[in-house]
Amino acid sequence: MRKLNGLWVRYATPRNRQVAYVLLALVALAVAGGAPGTGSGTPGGGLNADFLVW
Amino acid sequence: MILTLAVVIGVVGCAIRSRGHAASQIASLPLRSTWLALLALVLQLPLLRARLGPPQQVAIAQILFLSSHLLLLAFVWRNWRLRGLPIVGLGVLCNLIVILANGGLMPITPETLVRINPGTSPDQWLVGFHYGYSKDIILAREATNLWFLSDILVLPSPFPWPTAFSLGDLLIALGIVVLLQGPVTLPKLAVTEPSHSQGHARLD
Repeated sequence: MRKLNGLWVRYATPRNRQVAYVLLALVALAVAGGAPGTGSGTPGGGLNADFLVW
Repeated sequence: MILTLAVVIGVVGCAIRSRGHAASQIASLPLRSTWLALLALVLQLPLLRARLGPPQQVAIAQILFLSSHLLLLAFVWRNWRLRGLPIVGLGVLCNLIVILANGGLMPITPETLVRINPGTSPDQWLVGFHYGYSKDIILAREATNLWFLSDILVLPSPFPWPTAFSLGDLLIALGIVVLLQGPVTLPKLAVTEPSHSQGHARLD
């Protein structure tokens, strides 16, 4: 727990948190704005795929 | 996939341009109301988790999906002055127009599905059905309104994740890459008073 706390103090700086938030927002914008759900990657996968594909 | 890839490409481009100071560059992006984009994605999750089936099965998810576009447009409007956001807005609008013109889902033809699902045949894809785990509806090309705005572009194998995408998606990807190249805002059309001491305007 102490180690985790140390990592948080070291890496979760306000700047890094801001970077993470901006990137998260851009990924959300990319996924929500576009129509990226049409890839399958596996033969016939789209017919009965039970996984989320973006 | 191509759209999340755009974020990665944008970050890499930003890192190269800023010579290792990408984090500072990205952190200084003055994005406003980011919660709108996050909420828009949340609203789309029911549709993205729905299996292949007739569109009636996803009617409520479809309403949420369409509502999410209002949030996206609001997000673009709030950040309109940021470089790249007008391109993103145009992309969102292109996708929304073709979605609305085809009953509320993004059309994709069986032929395109065969290209991204090697080993299948066009007759295997049930026309008129929602293509599972996506925002798409399977429609024949003749039955598709504004076909050129639908998911007609394909990243086939050997690309690791064969994907179909639209012109709107391409614009959104481009806009995000441009946005990540720096927190530069569009110049304001400001009228400055001429300096009497210098006697002429100086352009920097």
